[in-house]
Amino acid sequence: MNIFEISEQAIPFLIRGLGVTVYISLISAIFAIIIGIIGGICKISKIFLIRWITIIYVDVFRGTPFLIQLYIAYYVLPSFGIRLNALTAAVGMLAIYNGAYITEIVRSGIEAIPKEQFEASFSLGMTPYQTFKLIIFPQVMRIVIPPLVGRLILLIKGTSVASLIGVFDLVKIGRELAIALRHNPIVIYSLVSLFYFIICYPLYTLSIKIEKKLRLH
Amino acid sequence: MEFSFYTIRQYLPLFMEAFFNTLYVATVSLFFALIVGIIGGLCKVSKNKIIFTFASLYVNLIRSTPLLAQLYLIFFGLPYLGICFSPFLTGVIALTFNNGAYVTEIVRAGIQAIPKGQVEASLSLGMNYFSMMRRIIFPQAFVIIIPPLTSQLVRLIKASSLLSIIAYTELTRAGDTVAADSFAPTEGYLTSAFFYLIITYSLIKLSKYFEKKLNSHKK
Repeated sequence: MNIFEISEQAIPFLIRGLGVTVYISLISAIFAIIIGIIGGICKISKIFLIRWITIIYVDVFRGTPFLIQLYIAYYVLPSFGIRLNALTAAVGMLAIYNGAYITEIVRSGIEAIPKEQFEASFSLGMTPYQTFKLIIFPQVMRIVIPPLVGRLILLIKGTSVASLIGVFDLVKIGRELAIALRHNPIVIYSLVSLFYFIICYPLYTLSIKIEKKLRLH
Repeated sequence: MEFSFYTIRQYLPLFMEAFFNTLYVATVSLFFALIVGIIGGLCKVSKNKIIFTFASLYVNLIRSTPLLAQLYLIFFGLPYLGICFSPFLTGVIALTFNNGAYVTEIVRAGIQAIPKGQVEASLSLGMNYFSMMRRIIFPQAFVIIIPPLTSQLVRLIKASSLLSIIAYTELTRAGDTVAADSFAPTEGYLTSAFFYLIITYSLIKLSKYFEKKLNSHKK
């Protein structure tokens, strides 16, 4: 079988896997950003306990491999009574794992705003809500978006690890195809890589463009 | 829910071996990735369009595809071509190519962080490209890239956990073994996580120490 025949057979299956990958990426990205924003705000809290818990959360989840965290969520949690199916475990752990990184991104974004901005807005009579919405938030966005997009690219690539606990994403379907059809594995895994490239590379160029645009201000 | 330390004590030799294997494969891969990265970094600051494009293509390809896909490509692809390597070697090759792209960017940023005045001064003193690189640029760039290189090592160690699926006995695989042999995934994976935390925590502390030392002379 030559490359085109293999591709013709493989691509419909791979596209289904791509759909699963995109689905997992979107949902876990949304949750990860929510967790990250909450975490970022917690990390600069004046309350020592909240800050401390967040620091431990970030250090533990950034200091261990994602695969181990996934295995713990899928194989260890049942002993504690929490039984998750593979998809839920994958989405959940992706959200928590990337949430730790986004916590740091958000924190450095907020800390980059000079304190004078807060003081100036308050002395002008703005409420904290107004301050945040009109002054702080736009500036934080400017700082945060490039590393955030970088993190999202890593999140999309991270969904591939979920294949190891049985989620039928792009990589898993590629592996099953390579085994079941005994085709040339180089062609199949190159196709898999190509699909990831098609999703991730535009995001990468987009983040460079955004970064350039924001730097001109 | 009981946590059996006895099980862990039973498998302690395995975890010790796995601990050192993880560090071993990570440092070997980092060494070769450094070589790839230095070559790549030089290519990416080159004025030659062809060399620059090749290096950029390599970096973008690696950074837009997941390590797992690259690992599968090498682990299943090479035997298809008739080349059979040990799990260790396959792992090193995959990790080297993957991290080589990231180290390329680190080296490139390090070289570009040196003020252009140094280049101009060296050239006006009559140095050729090679001498300039060897005596002026590299020594300074090398010191600059040590902190990001240490964090790359941390990423490398976490990435090495994927090597568990090609049957290389590193920390994650040790956890798999305990989980499979003794039906104790909790003891196995939590112990693996514990050892990973020891490694990453130490490395992060080390990296902060280097960063302090690096910035201390800037006062």
